[in-house]
Amino acid sequence: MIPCVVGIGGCGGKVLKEFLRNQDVTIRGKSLGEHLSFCGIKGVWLDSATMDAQKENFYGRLEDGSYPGYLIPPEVIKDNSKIFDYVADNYGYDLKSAGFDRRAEYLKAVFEIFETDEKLKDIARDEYQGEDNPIQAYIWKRGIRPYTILSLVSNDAKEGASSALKAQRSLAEEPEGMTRGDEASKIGEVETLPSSSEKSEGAQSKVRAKNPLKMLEGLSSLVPKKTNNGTNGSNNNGSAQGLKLCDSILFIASLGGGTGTGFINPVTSYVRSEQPNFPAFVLGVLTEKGTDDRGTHEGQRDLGAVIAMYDLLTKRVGRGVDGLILVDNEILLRTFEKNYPAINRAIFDIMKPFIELRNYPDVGNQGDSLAMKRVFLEGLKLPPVLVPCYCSQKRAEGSEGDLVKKALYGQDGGLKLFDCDPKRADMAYVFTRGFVHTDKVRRAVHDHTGLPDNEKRIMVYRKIGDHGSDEMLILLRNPYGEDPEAYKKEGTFENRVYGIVDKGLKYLDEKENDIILAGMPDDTKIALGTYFYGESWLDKMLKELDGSETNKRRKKFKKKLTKAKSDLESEEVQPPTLLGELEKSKSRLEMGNTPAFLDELNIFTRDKVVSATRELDMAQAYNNGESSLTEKEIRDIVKSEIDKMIAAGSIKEM
Amino acid sequence: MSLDLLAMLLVFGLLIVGAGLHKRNMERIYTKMVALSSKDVSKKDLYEELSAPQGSNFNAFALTAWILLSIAVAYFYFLTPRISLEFNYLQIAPLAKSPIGLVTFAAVVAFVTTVAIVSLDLPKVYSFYEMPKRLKAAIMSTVPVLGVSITCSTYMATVYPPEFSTTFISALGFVTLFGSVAILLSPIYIRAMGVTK
Amino acid sequence: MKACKGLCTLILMIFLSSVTIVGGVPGPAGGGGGGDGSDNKHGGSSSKLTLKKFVNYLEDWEDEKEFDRMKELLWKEPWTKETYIPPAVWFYCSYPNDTISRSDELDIGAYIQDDHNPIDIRRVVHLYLEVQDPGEEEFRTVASQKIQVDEYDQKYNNTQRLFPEVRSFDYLDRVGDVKLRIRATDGVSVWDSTNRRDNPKSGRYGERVLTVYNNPAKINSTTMNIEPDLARWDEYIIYTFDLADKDQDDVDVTLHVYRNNSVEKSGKEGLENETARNCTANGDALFCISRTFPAKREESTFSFNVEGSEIFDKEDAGKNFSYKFSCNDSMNTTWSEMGYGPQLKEIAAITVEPNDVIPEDENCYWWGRYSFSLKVCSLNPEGEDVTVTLFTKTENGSAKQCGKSLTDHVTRGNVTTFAFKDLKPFDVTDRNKTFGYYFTYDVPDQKGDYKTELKRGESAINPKALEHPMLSLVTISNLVLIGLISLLVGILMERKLFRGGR
Repeated sequence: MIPCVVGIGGCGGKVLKEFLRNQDVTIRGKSLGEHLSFCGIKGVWLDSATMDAQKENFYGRLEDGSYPGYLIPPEVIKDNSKIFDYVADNYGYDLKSAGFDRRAEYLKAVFEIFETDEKLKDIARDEYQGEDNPIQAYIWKRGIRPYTILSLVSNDAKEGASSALKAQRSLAEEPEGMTRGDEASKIGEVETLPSSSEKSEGAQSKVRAKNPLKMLEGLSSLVPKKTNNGTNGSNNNGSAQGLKLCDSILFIASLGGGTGTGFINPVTSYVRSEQPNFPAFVLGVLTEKGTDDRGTHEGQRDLGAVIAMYDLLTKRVGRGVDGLILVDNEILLRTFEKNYPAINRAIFDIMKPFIELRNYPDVGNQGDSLAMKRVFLEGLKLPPVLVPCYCSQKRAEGSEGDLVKKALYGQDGGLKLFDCDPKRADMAYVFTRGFVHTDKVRRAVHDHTGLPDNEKRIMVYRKIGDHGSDEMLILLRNPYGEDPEAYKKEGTFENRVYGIVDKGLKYLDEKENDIILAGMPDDTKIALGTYFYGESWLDKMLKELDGSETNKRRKKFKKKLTKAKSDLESEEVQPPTLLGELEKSKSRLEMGNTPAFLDELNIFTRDKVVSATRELDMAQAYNNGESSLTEKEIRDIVKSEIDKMIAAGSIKEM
Repeated sequence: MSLDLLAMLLVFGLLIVGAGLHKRNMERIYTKMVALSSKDVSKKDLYEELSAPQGSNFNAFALTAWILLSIAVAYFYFLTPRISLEFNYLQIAPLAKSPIGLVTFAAVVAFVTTVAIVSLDLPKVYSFYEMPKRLKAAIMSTVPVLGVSITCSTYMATVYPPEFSTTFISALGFVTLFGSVAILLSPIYIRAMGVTK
Repeated sequence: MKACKGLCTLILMIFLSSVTIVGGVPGPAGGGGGGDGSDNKHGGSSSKLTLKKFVNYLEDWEDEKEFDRMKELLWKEPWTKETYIPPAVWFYCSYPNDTISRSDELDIGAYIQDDHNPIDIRRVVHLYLEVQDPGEEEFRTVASQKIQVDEYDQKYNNTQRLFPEVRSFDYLDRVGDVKLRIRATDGVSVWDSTNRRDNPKSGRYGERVLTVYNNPAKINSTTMNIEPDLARWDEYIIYTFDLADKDQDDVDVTLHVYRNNSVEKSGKEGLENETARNCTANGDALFCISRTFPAKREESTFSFNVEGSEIFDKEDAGKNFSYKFSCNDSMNTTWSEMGYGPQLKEIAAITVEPNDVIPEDENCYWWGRYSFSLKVCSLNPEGEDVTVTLFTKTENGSAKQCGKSLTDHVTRGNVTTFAFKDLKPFDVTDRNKTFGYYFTYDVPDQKGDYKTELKRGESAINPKALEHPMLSLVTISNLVLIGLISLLVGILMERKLFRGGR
């Protein structure tokens, strides 16, 4: 697989730098050919702080034709933009904030607004030539898509649904024996989709059926110009002939950081609207304990981390990412003694076996991104957590067992990058670079994890590596559960997650005023309040507003609060709140249940999501023959399925 | 055996041994791969997988370095009657008395080397070896080093017949030449030492 | 009788007395010298032998059986002259063959046997070697010897005497049979060896006949040489050759010179039929000169100096000649092979004098310019049109024309200089070599040649190889171009062919 690595924020940018480091030796920054990164991967840095981005010498402005480049998504919003005014006036969010709000829910809220507010969409379409979500579109079309195989799509809308069907079928089948190139071209062929691959909400972007490239050109101020900064500029236009294009996305972000992971789900959704099966993975670096270098309180960061993890892990398969590779910064800081450059380098080294392109000749197309996606998601409805365990050592005969052991236990040079018990994993994916025996590796993993010694549960991907050393990266899928006491034990996944959930909850409890800012518009406050706290917050607000009927504004606010409360009470099933869900997560962890996070949460459209908890309950009740579904529940389920089918292109909305 | 002949044998010996070691490296990898594979492995497929691009800058400079190496060898040994009284540049009257004789001689050597490089697909050879940036930079830096060797050889020709005072220049020319050969072949030698472990 | 007796006794006494003087006579008692002088009969103590003692000794020995023998030794009965018979004489020669060359050496002598005459009555015999030369009828005496009475072997009564004067027949001036015998005389009788029976085994002949033949003198044709081979018509020419004669005769060698009418290179045919000029010895040759040389057994080199002989005249200038030698040792004449030469030069039309070469730079670099010149003067009053060409040559190399030929009219009395200026005659491969140059012209010079001798340059060409030094625009430009071309080729190959290895 060739991922397009998207670094988000400061952490993402620094780690991305290691991925994109030029393998060639430049002379005064000049190069005769393309920027050559490891295995030809491409990447872009997304950041919201222009000042931070400009300080980084490694990146240049993508808009100026530099590569590697950075994008500041808010820049797409023009100075006199109507949507800017609209959002500011109606929701109280500043779309062009120079440095992103470090509130964890900020980006989530902003993207939800664009998803849900029809009026805003209309304004956006008028202003951005048919694009109803300019920031997402900008990130995708300007920053990521040009480097992917999707940029090869002819985008002829007249191809019609038949080709879309073919596309879906062929993607689902993933015929074996294809080479990487064949796969890419196959995806390229089937990508003659019209925009029938719309989003699950049913919003049909008719304009998207037209040529996306034209839409790209519509963002005329953003069309790149060729520059003479040492590259031939072809990297800035990833659809240039003959380049190795990416067949997946790998987001790198810190969980709990400033810019955060808020981009990931919206961008992934946007990608899914074009290509439902396009693989997207996340490498999330969990914030360390204590106060970070920017002075952000641990509780705030943990809340941010939890929200980030929550959002990533609760988006259903087919709508969100295909896997979250978790790395604990606490372990990295301890291992590398706070040497940040070494940490960044280490993350890259650890991921090398995953992204290495040079397969053993006899395994064909083992590591292509669609195959990875399929195996990661096998048997799951929600994206998995993947814990990386890594080891590298000098080549020696019979070293497979040694490598596995060191990696899984993080001993003698091995690195287990997130606390967990390997025996809890339900699958293991082993990526090696070097000369190893598949059987020996599998046997060793079986010995240490208890997973069945077969290729269905322990998958080994062997790649050609550096001379003289063997490397191994083991991704343990969902290595937690079935142990009610685990959350108390140091070194377990449950314990670590439980800790940050707990701290996040405490922060929620203690810092309400920092979370729901006073100056926000009422509707936004209400949405946030109910998202975070639920009905209890409404009650609390109403109570505070008692006796303030004379104040017009407060009176109006009280009215809205009352309405919101009554809407809530009228719901048959209470929409989940963050507070509630986090409490449930803690309970699940205490009971040893999986997954840790279950229900997707939205801020502004909370009623539209079918609760996964409810699904589980219903499934259980059905199995037990205990209860029947309500009409509403049936309607919701049917609608949800129809949405899925529309999203998959199986049917088309009239 | 004269010192010059010995020096020439050293240089060519290094090149030949390097070629042999490269072949051996490839064979060893192939053997290992065959032992680890469940199916038949074709060498072509293996080498296709094994190769990784090293970058345009590196390739361009490496190619330049090899061309300069061949010129440096030709200059060091055949510009003056160091090795052979009959076969040397100074015996080719039209060249030796021409103001562009030196560059013509070099151009002929460069042409032959270019043909050889294209036939042998030299960048492909380098693509089989993992090279840290420092090693790449070292290989690229052989370009000016070989320039020094060529300059020394040219100086020796301009003052020919040699005097005692030119011994240092001659030695410098050889050391830079030999060192460059060693650096250019270092990925092969490093790999050979690593694989044998 | 009495006188002889008395003489013997005297001799004996003298002998005994001398013994006494020396050390006495050792007597039977073994006494030594220095006795006491007593007259002891058997003594030995007395050192002096007296007559009485001697007589006593004789009386004592009378009964000894050796006494008669002693008497015989001390006394010989006298022989009368009527019983003398002349000894037999043979010619002696141990040479095994009947033919012999004039120079072969042999031992010739006489052998005498005298069985009849005791030494007392023998006479001195005079021996004469007589030879009958080829074609002669009479014998002549060529050597003599004398045999004394006591020169015979006591046991065999013979003797042999060689004639050292005659060791070979080289004195003969003709060949044929030679007879040899010995004539003897004792002052009374004369006899010779003719009728004696031959005994070839022992080399004794009554009369020996030997057939004498001659070894002719020979010239080794391969050693024939003429110096100079190319000469002026009035030049001193020397003909040399190696001559040998086993008989070591004085050989008359005649040089025969012939003119080559034919222009063929071999030119051998028909030459012997050419008419000679001024040749009295041989009517075929143009010219003949004879000299006598003392030939030796081994080849010796001789030369014919024809100076002053005026073999050639002006009309012969430009022509070719050949020659032969004949050898006559007064008995045989032999001829050599034909020799070729001399080639006579044309008569000079001009005089030439080459000047020293003038290099542009005193360092004499190969790339430098050089000026050459030749001074020419005509010998003819009308003058000559002369075309001069310059040739240069470096060691181990062949001559190369340098520059274009120059033609000019030269007159008598004026020197015309043919100047070849600012030429670049050398190449890089000529460095560190010596060089020479010469001029050729189309009329003969004072030596009759058409070219000058090779004139050598004063110094060798500078060994420096490259014209431009290191710190010169040319060299630096070359180096920079090399770097740029290499870089350009590298970049082009990368961009067009390899593209980073993708």
